[in-house]
Amino acid sequence: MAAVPPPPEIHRSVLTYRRGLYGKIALLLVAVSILLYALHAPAGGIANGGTWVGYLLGTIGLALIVWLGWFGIRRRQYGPKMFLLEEWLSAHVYLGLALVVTATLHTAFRFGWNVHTLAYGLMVVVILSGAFGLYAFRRYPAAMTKNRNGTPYKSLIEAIVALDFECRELAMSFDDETAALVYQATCTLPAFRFRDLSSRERVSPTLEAPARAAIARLRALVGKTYSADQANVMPLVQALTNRALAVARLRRDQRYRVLMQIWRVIHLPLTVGLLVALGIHVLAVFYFW
Amino acid sequence: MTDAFDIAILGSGPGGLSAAVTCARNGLSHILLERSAHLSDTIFKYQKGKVVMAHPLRLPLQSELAFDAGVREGILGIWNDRAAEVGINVRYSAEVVGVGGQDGGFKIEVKGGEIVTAKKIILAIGMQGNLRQLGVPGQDRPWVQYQLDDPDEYHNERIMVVGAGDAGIENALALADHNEVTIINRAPEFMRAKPGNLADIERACRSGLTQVFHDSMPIGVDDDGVVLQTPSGDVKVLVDRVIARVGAIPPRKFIESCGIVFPSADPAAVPELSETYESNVKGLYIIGALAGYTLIKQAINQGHEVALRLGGIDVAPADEPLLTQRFSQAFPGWPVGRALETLRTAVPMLSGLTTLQLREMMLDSSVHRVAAGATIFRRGDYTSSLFNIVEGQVGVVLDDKNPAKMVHIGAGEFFGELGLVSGRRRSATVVAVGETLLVESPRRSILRLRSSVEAVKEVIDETTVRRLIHTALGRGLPVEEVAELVAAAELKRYKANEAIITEGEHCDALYIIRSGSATVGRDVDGKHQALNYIPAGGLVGERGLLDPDARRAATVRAAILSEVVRISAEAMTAFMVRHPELRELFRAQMQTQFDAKIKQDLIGAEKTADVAAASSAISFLVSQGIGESTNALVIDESLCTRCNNCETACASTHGGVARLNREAGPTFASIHIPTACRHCEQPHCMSDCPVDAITRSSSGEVFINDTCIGCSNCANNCPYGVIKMDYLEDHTGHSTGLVGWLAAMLGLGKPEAAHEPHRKLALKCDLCKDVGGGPACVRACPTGAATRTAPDIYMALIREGQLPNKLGS
Repeated sequence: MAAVPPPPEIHRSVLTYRRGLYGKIALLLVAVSILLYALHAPAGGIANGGTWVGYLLGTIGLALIVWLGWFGIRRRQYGPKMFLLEEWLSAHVYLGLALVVTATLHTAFRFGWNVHTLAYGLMVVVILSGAFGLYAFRRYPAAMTKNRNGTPYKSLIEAIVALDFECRELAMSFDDETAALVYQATCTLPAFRFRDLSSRERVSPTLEAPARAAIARLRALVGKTYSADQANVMPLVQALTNRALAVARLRRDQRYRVLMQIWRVIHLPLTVGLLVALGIHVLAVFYFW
Repeated sequence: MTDAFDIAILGSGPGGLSAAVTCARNGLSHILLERSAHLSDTIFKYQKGKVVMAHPLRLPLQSELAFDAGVREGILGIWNDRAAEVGINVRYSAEVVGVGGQDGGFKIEVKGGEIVTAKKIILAIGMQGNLRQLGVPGQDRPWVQYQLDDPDEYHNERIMVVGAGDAGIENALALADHNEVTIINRAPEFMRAKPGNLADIERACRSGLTQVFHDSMPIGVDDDGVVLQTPSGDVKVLVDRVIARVGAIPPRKFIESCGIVFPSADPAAVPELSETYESNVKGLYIIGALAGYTLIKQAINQGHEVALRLGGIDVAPADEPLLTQRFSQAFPGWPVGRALETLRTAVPMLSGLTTLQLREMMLDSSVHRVAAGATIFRRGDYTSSLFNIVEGQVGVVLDDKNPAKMVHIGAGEFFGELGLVSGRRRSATVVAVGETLLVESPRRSILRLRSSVEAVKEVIDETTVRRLIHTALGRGLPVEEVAELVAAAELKRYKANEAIITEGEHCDALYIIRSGSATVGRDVDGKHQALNYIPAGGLVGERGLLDPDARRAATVRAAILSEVVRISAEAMTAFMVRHPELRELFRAQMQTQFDAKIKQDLIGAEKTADVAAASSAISFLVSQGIGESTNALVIDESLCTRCNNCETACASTHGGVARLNREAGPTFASIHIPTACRHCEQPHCMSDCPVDAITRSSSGEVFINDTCIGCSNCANNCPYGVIKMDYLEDHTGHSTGLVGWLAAMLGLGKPEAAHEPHRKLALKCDLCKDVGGGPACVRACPTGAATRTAPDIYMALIREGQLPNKLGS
């Protein structure tokens, strides 16, 4: 059985874990990489992959990539382990970021249309997607809690369904056309929209076309004293706007969920691609020695 | 007067039936009186196909009536066949309404006026009692029923369920799919039900699946319907069937009317019985649940034993071999009777017990012979058993740094009661001084004993108060020194949220929390704002002792149901005159608090909002029961990415079923309390487990072991809804992680689980005690959002502002 991990300190983020120990290690790695590169190639940038410094940086990079990829497996191992998953993630984040420098120096800034640059490109995209993930993990959890305000996801949907009922109930006392518009405005649950993901598209409460049309019709009734529907105008308008608020809330929730997950769609498959490309790169280098 | 028998057996449950079969087999004159129209009504009314277990497994069956685990129908079939085969003399629909006469000539009055006479009576009517009836005209129409055996029997009927307790709600919900159901609630809203039932019935009523009449009750049953009294006048509702679930009248009144005495008013108390199950009424024997034995096998054994003895045939109790084995280490070769007598003489706590109580107690207890110098338990352990010293002496280590300094406790005394009462960690280490003989009894049997034997309760209470005072105020002093404080102390109980100390009051006492916990704070606009949390063992109100004119500066409220020892200020002042070091200690503590306050004021002069937020957060945690927890899961939602790795980790280390629900549970600011076990100080789940399958390990985990029979008592008793009734997929506890996943992908599948009957078991968090490395949920949290620790740590973190208690406002 593995050793028991130290008692967890309470509440800290991945970045401040162990007072940023892995950040310091990553900085050290970056410093050593730059130093080696600079010492070997003070001016011309000739420390390419073929030199001993190049091999060294390449080997470090390869080892790091394999180790970083192992995180995907470690994440799914739940038995007792030496290090907490949080410790792994802290190291994963910092060393992953440091890899940009080490690997770039390994290329000696020589790029071309070949498998070597492909591997490098994939690596950069993987790291960038990871960086976005880090940003999302720092930013959206609190926003999500605030938006939820203690309500479970299921209740966000139930709130809309309840408002749908209420709107339709109230619409019964109006003419057919108004009722039809209200039915139209309440007949579907909001589907996920990709445009909600863009940060410029703030998910604010908006009335969709049928609701707008229904409200326009109701507006025409305001001030007409002879209508028996009068009493229900404002409650119906209120219910329709409440629905818009509830929909916006659900959309925001979906937005945060997706933003916290979407980067994986790039991060994970491209990691596999990167490992393949890296394998070919290494084979090619040794084959054409 | 019609008949005269040697033995009358009241009730044909397992105990009564076993007695009747034994009588019939041995040719004894007997009559079995059964209230219903069939044998074993309680089991008869189990739901169809219910699995009946044969616990305790270690206890051998000793009867003419066969019994083994099986489904309800099988067991009833075997019993009915056996009863017919041996020719028991049974009278059905014979409800006994009164017992008169005495030994040798009892007169048993059966409903309807008939009198049965018998020399001896075996009372085996169980605890089910009489189902309460509607109490309105027309209540005995054939379509008014008091039980629902199988909801699927009824389709397309108009059914009225009367009573909105759990039974009524469960019936209404089960019937609602295929019938038109109306539920009648006497209260203005659903109040008496479990949270899960509450949510379901409210949803069903909202959606129109069931109709509800609140604040209403039936006042008459007609040919085709029920007349209801409702807030808006009387209403007649047409129905095809009425199911009344209006509770039961416990049998205690009837039993007392027979002359049988209960030792206390506690509803859990059972009548005192002799070694042969004879009650204080000579010739009247009590067996089964009524005598405190809730398991079927125990009742069957007792029925057999009592019937045989009444027939003049001597028989050893069924537990004899178990006790022989239990005593084999401590009293090798002794007969059980002699060992029991030795214990009774040596241990005052056991001396007031009847032989039956003592046997029962010893079945649950263990007898240890401990070598000199051995550690019995350590400070900080979570063991909750109580030890009685039979021979020898133990030492309580007062100061861990100086283990030689100890208080001695000798033969006849007991120790370990503080942990038992408060449910907290052991407050000191105890070692054996010489070779020592100890009886260790589990918490549950001691509590049972405490509620049935008044003397035991007194001696435990008195001792805990004395030792609590000694630990809290007189550490290092001889025990006699605190005697005057003990004399001045009184034990008080406070309900959750009740004020122990009120701001502005005169300071007239010091309080020590014996069990439960308290919050210190201020009442602002009628709302208690907690600033500090005091666990059991802690002191409250010491400040007022230093200044006789002081007024209370804060209000202290019980966080949960708590027991508090109150010592008057006069007694404390007198004590501190002789022990000025205590006064100095209090003063030093107050100065530390003072410094901390100054520091806080200087740093956070403009942070008053933060203090208010912290106080709200503490109040939130206490209101969610974190105050009674020993280890609770809290998620900081500002870090939680909702990846659910915690749940996945839990499921994959616990047979495929997660013991926590991350999303469920309340949230305050960003502090989220998921639905997960809090490992309470006094676990509610442990209070009513028929097979004692729930235990607390010495490191504090409250867990359910393999003997669980799936009765779901614990799940119903847990106020936090953290116990799941579910099927276990994989009993091995091996990782089903990546390897299992790959195997599943390749179609290799998992080998069939080896454990037999597939039924729902109670499943809960065990803090990964068998996995190792700490709770998997916390280990698997990639962002550090999940924490599992003790409440005082959370409270401290909140006060220090480390656990965010407000979101970027």
